Amino acid sequence: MSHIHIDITGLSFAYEPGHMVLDDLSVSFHEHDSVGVIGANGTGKSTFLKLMVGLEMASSGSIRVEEIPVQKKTLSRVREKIGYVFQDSDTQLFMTTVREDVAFAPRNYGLPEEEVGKRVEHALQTVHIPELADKAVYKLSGGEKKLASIATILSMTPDIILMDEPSVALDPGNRRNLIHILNEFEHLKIIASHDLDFVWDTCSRVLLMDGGKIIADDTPERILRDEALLTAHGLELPLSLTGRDRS
Amino acid sequence: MHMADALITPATAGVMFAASGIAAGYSIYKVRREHSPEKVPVMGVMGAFVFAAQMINFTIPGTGSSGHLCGGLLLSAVLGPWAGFLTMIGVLLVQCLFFADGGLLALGCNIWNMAFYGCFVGALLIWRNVMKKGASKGRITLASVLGCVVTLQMGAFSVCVETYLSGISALPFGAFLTAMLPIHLAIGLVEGLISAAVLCFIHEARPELLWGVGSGEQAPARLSFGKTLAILAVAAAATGGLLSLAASSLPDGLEWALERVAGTAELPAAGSAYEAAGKIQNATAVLPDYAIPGSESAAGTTVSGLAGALITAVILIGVALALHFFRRRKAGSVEAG
Amino acid sequence: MSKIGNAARSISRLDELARRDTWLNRVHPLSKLLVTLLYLVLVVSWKPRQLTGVLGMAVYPFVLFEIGDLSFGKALYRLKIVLPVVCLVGILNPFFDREPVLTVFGVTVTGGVLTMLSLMAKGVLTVLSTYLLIATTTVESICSALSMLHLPGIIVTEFLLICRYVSVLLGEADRMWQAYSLRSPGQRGVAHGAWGSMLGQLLLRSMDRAKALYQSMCMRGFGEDRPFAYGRGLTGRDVLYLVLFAAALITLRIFPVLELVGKLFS
Repeated sequence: MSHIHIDITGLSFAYEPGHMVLDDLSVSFHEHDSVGVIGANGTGKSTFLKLMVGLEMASSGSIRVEEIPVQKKTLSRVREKIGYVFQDSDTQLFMTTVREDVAFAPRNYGLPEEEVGKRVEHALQTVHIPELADKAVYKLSGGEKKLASIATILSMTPDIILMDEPSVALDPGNRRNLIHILNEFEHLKIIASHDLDFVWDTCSRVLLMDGGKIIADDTPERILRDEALLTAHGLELPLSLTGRDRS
Repeated sequence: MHMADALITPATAGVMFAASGIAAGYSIYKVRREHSPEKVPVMGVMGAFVFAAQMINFTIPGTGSSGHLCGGLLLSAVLGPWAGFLTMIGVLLVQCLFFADGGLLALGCNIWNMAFYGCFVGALLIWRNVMKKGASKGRITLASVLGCVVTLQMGAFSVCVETYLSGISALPFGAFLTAMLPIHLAIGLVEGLISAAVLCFIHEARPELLWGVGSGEQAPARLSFGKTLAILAVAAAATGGLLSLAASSLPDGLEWALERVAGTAELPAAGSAYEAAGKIQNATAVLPDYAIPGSESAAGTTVSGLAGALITAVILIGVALALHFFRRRKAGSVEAG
Repeated sequence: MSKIGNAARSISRLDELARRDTWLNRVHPLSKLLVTLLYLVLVVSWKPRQLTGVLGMAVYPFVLFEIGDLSFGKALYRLKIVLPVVCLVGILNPFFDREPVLTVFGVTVTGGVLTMLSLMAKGVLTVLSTYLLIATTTVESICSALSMLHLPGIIVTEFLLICRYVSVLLGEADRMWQAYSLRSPGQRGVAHGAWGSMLGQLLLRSMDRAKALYQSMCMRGFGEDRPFAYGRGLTGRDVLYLVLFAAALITLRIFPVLELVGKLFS
């Protein structure tokens, strides 16, 4: 077994006592996994991702990222390994230019300026936007912001990428571009989304969540084609699999 | 009530920078002591919020006019006076740099006139004491309106004092006050009502966001109230002292303004007063007046000076036009070639 | 509300100017900031009647607008806030101060007229020189200069974040206003029944955004004590710029340059 993995056992979480958002989850993720966490609105997908990086702390159970338990005192070690892409790019990009933003994390981890520069170039190359380096963030389009957001975490050279609803508000061209870029990232990636077509195009494994529990954990083939299962949990077949055309 | 750079002298600017700097230093100390690093992004976003909120016009019932928000008390009621004060500094800096509203040199004055009173007097003194027994719609409205009216009056008063001490206006101090205070009474009232409406909404939706509510139960109230008063007293004394220091080093400003008022009636007497003022002015000025002997600049401006200005302007404009001409020709030849 | 649109446009136009690659834009922000501050101090240090002295200071913005290829028109537009206030304060001077000071081509000029004109000139020059700074210097470079001046990190970071999120929140406020005005035709402002909910909603959203922002910063190693603004160090050229301009400005302040020019021709 490779060194990149996340192990979760008996994970529960509640914002208010008695109001379980996640209820006794156990699951493991491995290198080269490309996991789509799907579920209707409010099923705890985002919370699940936030727990893995310690943005929320579990009520009970344990999460281990590459054998490091996620706790208050291990957060900086955990977060060096995991990159988290927020749903809202304006939250992710808080510096004034793309270059400054992509350089933010490497600088915080104390890298010398020369290395920071290299990291920034490489991250921007990876998402194919080197020409946007010196552009002001507020001038970027929605698609450009999303790509820049991904670059800001690639500059940390993470082992694992977590993404919250990455395809929201992207036009078809940017969406295709994003799918292409995600498929190039070969380490572990976990994508929370209710855009099942996007999950179909990017993931090799699907977790269906409802009511704070994992309902199904299988290949996209098995879950995303199972209309009865999906509709029972507030989802619908991906459009590309319905076989229907517009007539 | 943003003051422009032109309205003040370096001495006034320096004194007010020092006063605001002390308040800022103390606020930073207080915010750091809270050990809540999330305060920094909150301050940044809330600063931007104040900015956006100022852009929304509110129709004032019963009048055709509209008002907007200044924000010191509102910010402090959510962030606390320390973080609120630091946030207002950022807002004022953005306003002066990007919108020429206020000035870089007058920033110290503006921080004092708007942020200090709003955050420290408005929130720390008035808001917290009214909210001590818990929040209600009535109390929130009372605290907001009282806080905004009082702090805007103090701000307007300070604007008058700072302008007067700088000695750039011939307007008598009393006349200036009678012009400024009533206007700011109305502005304060509107600002207070808008702040009250927002804070009542927050009280209903997310009461935990309001600062200083029920502080009377947790902390020994008399001590904190006394402490607050002490801080304010020290700050006021320090400012007053510094201001009078500035005033005494700038006799020309005061003398000059006084003399102007008198001068309209009795010219010869005022003339000698002006000469005396001029002597002190020459003795104490940081920068010397024209140093070249034989210069006729005692009155400040001369005919040859004005002629020189005209000639220099003609030369500069000529050079600029020539530069433009060559630039265009160069661009043209590049395009042609 | 066109006010919101205007504010957003004015910020974005300044930002575009500051991101140009001209000689003046490349000068270190610290040099430009210090020269600007010095200039402001020197301009307002002229006594009320010393009109020619103030006018002499106009050389600096004039020359640098030329070098920086900036338009006077757009900069003068910014005077719309400052000039009315300054005029209001100065306009009464001619009535109070009627002492004749000098005679130009047979016209007697009083002290009040001189003080009024010099006040207005100060208003114009201080606004122009601040514009000169912000139109050639990006926000992040200004922040790096402020850091080099040892301004507390908390203020620098906050200032940078305000600049970044002003456009985001202006957009949000604009959308809220549009949604409001579409359902309340003919209103010029927000009616008082909606004051609280309108701004309150915006405030709550801003607080939520700030929380998410903090999480996002934490995910990338943010710490209170870590510097937020990075800039290059001063080079010889930047120091030269600072020294030369400081010397030139101080010369303009100390010697009656315009008077000497005038005497040369008389």
